Amino acid sequence: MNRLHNHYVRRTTLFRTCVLLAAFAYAPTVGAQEETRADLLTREREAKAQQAAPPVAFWLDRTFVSVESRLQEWSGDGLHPVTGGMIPGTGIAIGPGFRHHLFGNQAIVDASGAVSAGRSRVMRSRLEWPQLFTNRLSVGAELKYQDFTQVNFFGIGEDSLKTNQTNYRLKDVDVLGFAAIRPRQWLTIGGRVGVLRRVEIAAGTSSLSPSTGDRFDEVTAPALTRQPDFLHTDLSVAIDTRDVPGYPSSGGRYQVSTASFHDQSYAQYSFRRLDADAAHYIPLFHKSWVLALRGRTVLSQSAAGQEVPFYLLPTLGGSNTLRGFADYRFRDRDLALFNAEYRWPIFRALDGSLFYEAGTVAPSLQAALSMRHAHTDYGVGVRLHTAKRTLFRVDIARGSEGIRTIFAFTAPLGAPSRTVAPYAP
Amino acid sequence: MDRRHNASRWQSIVMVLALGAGSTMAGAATQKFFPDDPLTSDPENSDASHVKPQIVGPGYIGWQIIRDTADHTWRRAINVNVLDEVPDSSWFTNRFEFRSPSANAIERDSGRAAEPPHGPWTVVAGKSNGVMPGLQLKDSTGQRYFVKFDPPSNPEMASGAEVISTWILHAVGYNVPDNQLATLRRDDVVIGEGATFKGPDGRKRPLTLADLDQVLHQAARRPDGSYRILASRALDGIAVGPFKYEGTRPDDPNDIVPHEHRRELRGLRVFAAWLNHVDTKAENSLDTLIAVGPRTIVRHHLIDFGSTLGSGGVEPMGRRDGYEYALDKRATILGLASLGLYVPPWQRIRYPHLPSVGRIDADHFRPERWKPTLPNPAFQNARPDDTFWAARRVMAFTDEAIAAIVRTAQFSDPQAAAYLSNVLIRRRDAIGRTWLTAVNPIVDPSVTDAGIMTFRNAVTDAGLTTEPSEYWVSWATYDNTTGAATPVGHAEGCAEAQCPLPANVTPETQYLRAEIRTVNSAYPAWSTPVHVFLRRDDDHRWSAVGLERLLEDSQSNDERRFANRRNRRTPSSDAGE
Repeated sequence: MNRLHNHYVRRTTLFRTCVLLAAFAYAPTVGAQEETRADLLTREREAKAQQAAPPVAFWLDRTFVSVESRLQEWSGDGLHPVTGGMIPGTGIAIGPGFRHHLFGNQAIVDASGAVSAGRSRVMRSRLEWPQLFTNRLSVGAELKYQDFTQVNFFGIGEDSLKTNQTNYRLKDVDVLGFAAIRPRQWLTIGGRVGVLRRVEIAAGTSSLSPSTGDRFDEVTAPALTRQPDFLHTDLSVAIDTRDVPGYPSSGGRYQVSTASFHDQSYAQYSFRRLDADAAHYIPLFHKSWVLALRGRTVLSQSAAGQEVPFYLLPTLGGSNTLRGFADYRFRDRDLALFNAEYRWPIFRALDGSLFYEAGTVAPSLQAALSMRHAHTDYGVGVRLHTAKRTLFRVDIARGSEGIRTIFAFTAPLGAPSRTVAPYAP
Repeated sequence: MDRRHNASRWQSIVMVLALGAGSTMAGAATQKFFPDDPLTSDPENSDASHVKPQIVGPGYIGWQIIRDTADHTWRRAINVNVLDEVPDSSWFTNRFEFRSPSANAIERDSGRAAEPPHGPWTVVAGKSNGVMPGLQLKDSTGQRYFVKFDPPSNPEMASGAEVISTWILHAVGYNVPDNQLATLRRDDVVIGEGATFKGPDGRKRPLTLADLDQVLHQAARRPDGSYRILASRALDGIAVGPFKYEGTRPDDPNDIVPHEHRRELRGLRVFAAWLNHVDTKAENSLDTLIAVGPRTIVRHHLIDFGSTLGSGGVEPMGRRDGYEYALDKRATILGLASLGLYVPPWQRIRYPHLPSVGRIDADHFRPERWKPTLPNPAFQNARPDDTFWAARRVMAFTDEAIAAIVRTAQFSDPQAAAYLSNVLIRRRDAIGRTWLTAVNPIVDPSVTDAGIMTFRNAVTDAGLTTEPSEYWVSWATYDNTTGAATPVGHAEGCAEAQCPLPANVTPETQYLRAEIRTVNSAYPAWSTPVHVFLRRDDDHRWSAVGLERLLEDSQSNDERRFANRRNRRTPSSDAGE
């Protein structure tokens, strides 16, 4: 096809060139009368008029226009594609979605499903009023089915061994209602109430590591053999003063949330969790250079005789916490994490970065905060960005367990995941 | 790259060569001067009503940067007339030429709309996606306007910059929209029937009052609750997309000169540097089909000057803007190699805190080093004769005219107006020192009734030198058919730029060529001659009919860079030189 097109273009060009040359070869016979500059220009224009062709847009622009119009189509009601919506470590997920606006554009009902390369699946349907009271209140409800086929588990504790890597499969259905109030543009107070049901831990589908059930038991991985239904609630207060949330250079993001999980099945796995996360961006040299600092601590509390299921324990490792370690590499009841990242411009749309991270998990907050057994990594990265968002980043991190390369479509040091189960950093 | 585009470019080159070949065959066509020379107006007499809309997007622009698809043959601008000037055309109109607009003319806003638009306003459409929210409104007379607002952090900045740049670019000769300041009050706005709104998701839907409030919420508001707006009158005619800064439009028969070889587009580099107009990409241009008598032609406009002077549109101009391309090889290597420890000089510039001005200064302005955000093929092709042509127009603006133009921006802070006037005056002078002095500055040749050729020195006229210059003239008879020049006598000095015509020319001599060298110890480059051609008319009176500014092979760093880049994709040709 391409060769045919080339041939066509070559032939057309040759033909037009011949027409032009013929026109100018003919010119002498009329030249005797045409002695003005204006005549000369007119002849030239007449020659061009003979070979005028409609403009053809560059193929990339044609693609952009087509994609843009398709995206616009997709942003409206009806069928649209869905990407993402998974937890870290599952890879890129895609699938179809259906959206419809209700009540004079006040509410949106949205249903979607997505599948990742590892066959993890998420299906959700959601009804939301996103911008009530001039964008100060949003409320909604969601029904979600999840099936994550390959979630890493290395054991509990900061001294868990890399060689103990296993993977498990987690399925659940979560029904929840949510509301968020934004009294100020920078302040959001949100809450969720939901029921986590039909949780099922099964053998992981990855052939790269054994199934969790093959190496761990109920003692070393609480709730491995039986999974309760949960009534869960959470409340969060978030302050966001970042100048550009998708590509921040100054300001900060500070969030405190508390969540409680009530075991509805066995009265054995109820617990509470407190999560504090703060990221601050310090502009250097007029905002072009940025030093980003982030601290995070997570505390799990349970009454005597209660355990925290292993899949709901705070974890470290991966693109949003310790980049030099595998996803979900460390987990325990409490967690402390510190990230520092220095970002500088390479050119307008690309930044370089140097980062250093330290984090640990521990059975008690005191042990976690002491960072005595902290795992550290450092690395370099590049970020492709627009003025408003990070489009893509590549990080190469070196930790005590080797070098890892991370490709991500989100800015680093992002807010904690909103996924209820499993715990995702 | 689009093959049709390449084919079109090659056809243009073939056309130029064919013109030369055809001219040789025609005999008369090789002549340098025609009876109607110099043309002051380009006879664009072909009908262009069949021209179709053209898409020029970021894909093409990105590819153009990567592959540099323009023709960089080192050649004189093709569309200049024999006096080295740009004739009026659908691209450019000699409005004030080399005179400064008077303060009166500026106050009258000559040539522009009679009076500023005013409410009540009817909203036709709106958008909150894109860089800046905007509205399309109709004023009380039903005229349609594209309306832009200032960002709350920088009231008056973007609108002020746009008004000033519009005024200057219009005055120097470009086609620009009628951009005016106006006032909008919320109570003065009604939503028109069928008005649509494009939200952040890009979805078009019926516009609501909440949408209108959302747009206004993102705009700078005056203490009295009103909004200062930039109302850009919809251009006349049918929009058919932007023009490219290279090649020609394949379906416009009047468009026969590759754009990178148009003098006014090459010279735009100088005006853009003056105004810090960094966003000179193709997308910020617009062609429209307009009726001229019985024909329809394409008129070419520059649009969108929100990112000029100290304004970056929704925020102050980026520190990097004007100093580096978006993708600058040297800066990239330095940034990578130093892990960000290398801090470019532009990062250290301290700008005064003037929110309505943004970021612009004159202290660090080096015209020859100024860069737009993206490489512009026409700017890259600008030679010293192109930049001289433009610099002369820049230097024509008097201090008073500049101050009057800045006043049209109606800054409420007098300090801002004073600062911006001062910056524009000093940037103008830097342009004069850089580009006006780079070539032999002989201009305006003419012949008196007493048979004396006179001319002017543009640098002396601009007051940039007090150093006296000597002028040496070598006369030759010139054969307009063969191009042969036969010397007449020896080089002679001309006192005070007045050179008597040689006495020993035969009555049959129709053309004389004067080779003028300027000797000035401060400017050695001026010794490169300017050729002035004189023609004897039917009543035996001589008049200046041509001027050619010869250039040294490698006169400046600019040219050396140009020489390295040129002919990367085109055969070596100095046709036309």
